[in-house]
Amino acid sequence: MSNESKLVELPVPSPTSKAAAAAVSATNGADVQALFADITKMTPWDEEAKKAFLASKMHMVATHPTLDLAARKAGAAELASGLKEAGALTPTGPIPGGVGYGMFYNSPFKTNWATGTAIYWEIVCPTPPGGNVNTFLYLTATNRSGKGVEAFIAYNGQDQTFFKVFDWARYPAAPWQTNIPFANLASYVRTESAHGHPYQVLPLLNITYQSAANHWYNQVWLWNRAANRWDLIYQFDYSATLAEQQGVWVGSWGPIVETFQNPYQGTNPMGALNTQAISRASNNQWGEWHLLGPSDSYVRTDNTGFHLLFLDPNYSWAVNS
Amino acid sequence: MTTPNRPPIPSGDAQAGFLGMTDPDTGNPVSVADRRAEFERLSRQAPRDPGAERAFIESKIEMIRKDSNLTEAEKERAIEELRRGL
Repeated sequence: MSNESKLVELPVPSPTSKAAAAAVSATNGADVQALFADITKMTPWDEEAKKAFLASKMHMVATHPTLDLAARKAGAAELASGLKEAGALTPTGPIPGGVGYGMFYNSPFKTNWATGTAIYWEIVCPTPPGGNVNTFLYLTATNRSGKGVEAFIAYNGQDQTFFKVFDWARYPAAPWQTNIPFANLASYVRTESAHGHPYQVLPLLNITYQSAANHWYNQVWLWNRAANRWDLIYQFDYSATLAEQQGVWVGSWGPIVETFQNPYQGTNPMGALNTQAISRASNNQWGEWHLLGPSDSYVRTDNTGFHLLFLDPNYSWAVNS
Repeated sequence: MTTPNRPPIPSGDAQAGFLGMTDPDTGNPVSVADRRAEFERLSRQAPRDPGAERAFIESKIEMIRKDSNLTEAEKERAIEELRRGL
């Protein structure tokens, strides 16, 4: 049998109408251009759909995760002139609730603990968030437990920044607990350098551990820079099984930027530094802290405009837009 | 001594509820303080925003929907769990 492939001959569209007609004729086809043109004329255009199509292209170039900010700007400028005429510069169909950038735990790592789990991380939290942030934006993380807490920075526009604790062990009855204006955290906020740049960070410990059979504690600790000590700022004890702690979706994310707009533009650098995890074994012994790595977690980004400034896989990273 | 970059190891009597902290290098207890009362007081002063609280859960539901690592059945189960509170 011959190895030579047999090419299938197809009618190839030609740049000239004469050649096109010949090609159609040669393949026994029919020229339906007029028919399609007529149908097109009779079909009403959905102007909103047209705008959405063009706006979507603008959104794609403005949020493309592998383009740097300059390339995004250049691409957007190219599209902008045509889009302006079409009135499509305002994106349609906003999609609140996404992951701007951040880490999700790999399945084996998520459950690789028995009687306790904790995360330490330094929240890179600029104040204000900058750019076009005009609603909520969260810098949050879980410690792998399904009934643990999210101790996080919550922005609402440029002027309202809070440190909050949402306790999943108290959901849905009373999950909202700590709610502190950022201005009250002066003793806890510090400056940390990474990749040659200083960042404002809030270091914190988020711990869940079992004290007795099916009895657990959630704790949040902040590093008090002024007093040189760790401050316990939240604690809750509750009943739960290990299956409830490990067999649910809650607890699957490490440090993330959780988004409510799309796209983000002009935001200040935000993210996580020195993320570490620790596990407590079935004999109630804590192990050692280790930096969150690529074997523990993977990056998720929903293309909401954030651009990666640096990544030390996967424990330190910052994004802007 | 422990620093923010060198976090302490949780320790102490877990059943007593107040977990201590130990320096990972020396094994000695590190300085800690219980500031829960102050943080509770400050939290009570801040007004609650029901819209923001609802948005928090709705956002998580959206995160589930977009999670390419979950099967449809896993998504349904996770969303159902969260909807209990809405």
